[in-house]
Amino acid sequence: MLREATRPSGIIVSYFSLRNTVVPADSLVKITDIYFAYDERAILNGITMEIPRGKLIAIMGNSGCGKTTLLRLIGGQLKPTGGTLLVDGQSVPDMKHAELYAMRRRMGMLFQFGALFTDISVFDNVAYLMREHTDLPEEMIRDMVMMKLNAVGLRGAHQLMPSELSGGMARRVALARAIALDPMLVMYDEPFAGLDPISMGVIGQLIRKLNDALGATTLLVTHDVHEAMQIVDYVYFVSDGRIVAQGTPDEIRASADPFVHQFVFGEADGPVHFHYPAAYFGLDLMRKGAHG
Amino acid sequence: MAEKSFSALIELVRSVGHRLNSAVQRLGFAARFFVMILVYSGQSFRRLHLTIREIYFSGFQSLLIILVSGLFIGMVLGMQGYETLQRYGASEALGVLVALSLTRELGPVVAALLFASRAGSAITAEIGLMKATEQLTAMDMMAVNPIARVVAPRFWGGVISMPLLAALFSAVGVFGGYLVGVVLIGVDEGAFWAQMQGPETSAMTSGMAW
Repeated sequence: MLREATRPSGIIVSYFSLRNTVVPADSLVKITDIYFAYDERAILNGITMEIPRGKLIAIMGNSGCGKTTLLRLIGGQLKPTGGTLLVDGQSVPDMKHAELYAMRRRMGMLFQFGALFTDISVFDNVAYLMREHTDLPEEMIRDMVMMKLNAVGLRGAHQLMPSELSGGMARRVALARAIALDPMLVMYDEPFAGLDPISMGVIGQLIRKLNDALGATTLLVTHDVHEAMQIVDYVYFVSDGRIVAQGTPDEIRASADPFVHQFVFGEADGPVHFHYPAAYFGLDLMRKGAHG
Repeated sequence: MAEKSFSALIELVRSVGHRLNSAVQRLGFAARFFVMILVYSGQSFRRLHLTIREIYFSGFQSLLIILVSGLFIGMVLGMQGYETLQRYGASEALGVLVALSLTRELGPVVAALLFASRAGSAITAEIGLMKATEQLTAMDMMAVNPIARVVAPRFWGGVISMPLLAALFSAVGVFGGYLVGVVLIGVDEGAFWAQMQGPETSAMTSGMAW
């Protein structure tokens, strides 16, 4: 059954029931009651979630609900204003620069539009991390890069420059780069944004296969419900900086929760209102001088 | 009325304070950035090919504009210098005039201006694009420090190329002065070069150092 959590207390309840049922106790990422604000604007209002090892977890929500912010908090690029955030048992906000970089070496991240280095070739993009962080001989790097590129089906494109790739290919190269050093945690920020259905399916299947093949843990941030539901193990729905619903894809599909229903079926009006808050419409129409 | 002028005064003080505050903030940011570049410079020298690549891009690729401008500025100096000097019968001092004004003043300043406009704007555009396409964020997330990997090599590439470019600018400028003064106008070649080696030109290097 779908657990709902619209208030902080609800989140804590669902958190404990979650621990006992679906998610094994050993979690790679453990977020407890986290808050974040840009200046005065609150982005996250007490989010609690666990990402178990080896699983593929999706965070969904409408644009601007704080999904990407959550990824940046996990990566240590932003510091939360409250709450605790543990990755592999270590508190990310308390890490020093060197510790943070040591942790990031074990993380891979795919950015929304790939963020490939535009001045070097596909091969060099994937080899980048190996050259930066290891002293491996060039032949070995070549073999590893070819293996990664083969996994995403782009071994034949290794000589191309990023500007010569299509959107879907660029995303696959970025995927190969993200898994270059076999990370423990791979984070995807909107991997399906702006792709055609075929590329989308390809990327979706790759994400699933790579997660299982590498034994990694994957965190997927997306608003593409249908694509994500086919591949993930568990879904968190975020709205207004809170987790409003969570469950396995089957639970989500069967959900009667109005927000989930609106989101999954893409309805224009529902708990997320179509209209920006405004006074009674009639008042605006009756206003004197409205017709100039 | 008094209340109105009082609030205008407050507004004035507030805006001046705001400008001062943001100016100090920008200055602090720049200073901090500079210190960060120095702190993270190790990699630029440990992995020298990063810096050498930047010397090629900002130094070598600025050569053409530096050499052409240097040549023409030297030619103008030779021409105008001769016009004035020959009135007093001192046209043999043309070599000194050209060499001193180039090495002491014009050379480093004009070369620096050209370098800033050619290489500086190229670097700004390059890093700006990397920032806009999240390449710098991606780098940071890959545990590669963008200041150490992107900014510091460009900084040191500039620091190394700039004096060399200024020297070349002055050298080509002197040659331009020679072309106009000696080859075209016919000033004595021996005097042109010999006077340049006099005691007053021992200060030649001072411009270079600056």
